Amino acid sequence: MEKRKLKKYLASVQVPEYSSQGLQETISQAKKIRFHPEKQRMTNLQFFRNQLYFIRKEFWGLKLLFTGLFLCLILSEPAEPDSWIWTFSAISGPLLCLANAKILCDIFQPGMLELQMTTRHSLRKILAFRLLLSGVLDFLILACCAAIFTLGQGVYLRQTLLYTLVPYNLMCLGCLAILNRRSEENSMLYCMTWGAFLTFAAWLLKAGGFPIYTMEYRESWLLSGVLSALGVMWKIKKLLKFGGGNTDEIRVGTFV
Amino acid sequence: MSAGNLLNHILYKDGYLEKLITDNYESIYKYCCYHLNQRHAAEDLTQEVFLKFLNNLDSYRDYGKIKNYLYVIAGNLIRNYYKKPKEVCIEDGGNREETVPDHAGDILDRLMVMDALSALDQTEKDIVILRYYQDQRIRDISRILGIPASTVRYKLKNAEKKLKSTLEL
Repeated sequence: MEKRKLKKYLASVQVPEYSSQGLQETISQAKKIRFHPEKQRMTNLQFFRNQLYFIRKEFWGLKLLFTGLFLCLILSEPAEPDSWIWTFSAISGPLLCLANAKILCDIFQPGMLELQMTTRHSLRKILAFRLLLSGVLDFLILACCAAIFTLGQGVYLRQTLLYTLVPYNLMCLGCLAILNRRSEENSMLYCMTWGAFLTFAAWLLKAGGFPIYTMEYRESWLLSGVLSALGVMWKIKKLLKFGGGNTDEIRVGTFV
Repeated sequence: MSAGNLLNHILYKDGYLEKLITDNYESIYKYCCYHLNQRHAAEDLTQEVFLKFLNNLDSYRDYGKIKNYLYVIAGNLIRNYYKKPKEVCIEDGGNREETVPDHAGDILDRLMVMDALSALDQTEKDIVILRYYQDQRIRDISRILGIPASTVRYKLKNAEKKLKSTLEL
């Protein structure tokens, strides 16, 4: 009741209406203002779109080539436990990951494009973008290929994913460990060596008649998958922490 | 909305700037008017609020609504207005234009309310104006004044008590 009375009292104070001339004057003054869109900070979406232009065409080409090759190989013969298809799917991960290693190693090369990339944004932000792009793209490619393979060959999807993702994770782990070593010039060469080693290992195990694609080795595959995934997370965290650009140069030291 | 999006809207969306000003002009004008009690000064300050907002879009911060941000600018400009020394025209006798329209009801009530409002401290007055005259929600008032919502509620209660005792309700 008292509140209603208070409201009534307060409502007794009214202000005069504004003049439309004042409003028009404000609008005309506002229209004279010159805006400077170039001074604006980028939104995250604009940053993502902008960073896509910095990815070289050869990256997309390599991804397309590896995906095509992978599909050709896995659909070429029926999926038997002793066929080469599982080996092909196992080596597809390291091959796909090589393209990612290329764009990550590129950031640490002091070229004009890389300088241009890192002038406006921190190295950490660019690294995070590239890691995210590579991860999402590869996951989509591997998931699509695994789905096609499963439909085409009538095998379990989880089996295909397991034999594809574990070598992929191992490749990622190796590349990230190399990038964390900060040997700027030869990083790509080391990544290629690690990829070749994994491919050779997969080939050798198959050629030697070692039955790693059978059910009895499933636990080992799962364990390797979990351990390598944890290792990848740890290495990504480390890479992002120590690759932060001028902020971290003072705090923890950096490599660019 | 971020500063970039806002600028994009202003630059590339036809009539957005006019709509933005027209939609918010009355509220900001009334807010200034309740504080200053002078129509012309309130109009000048309202114009300044919009120009300041547009000139400093870089430093735009999201307060939930654009109007909330405009209230923040208006509040700052009102404080600056009171700090500045005023030029008083001696010939006019420092004549001050009353905000009260001629058709308003009981003059005594009105004067009492104005007295009671001016007896409140600055934050309480701000809260009462935003709550009772601008119909703002507690959450928005808390954003505008930069104080927690619980404090706004507490101060509003205090202000209401003071008003009731001054107005003998």
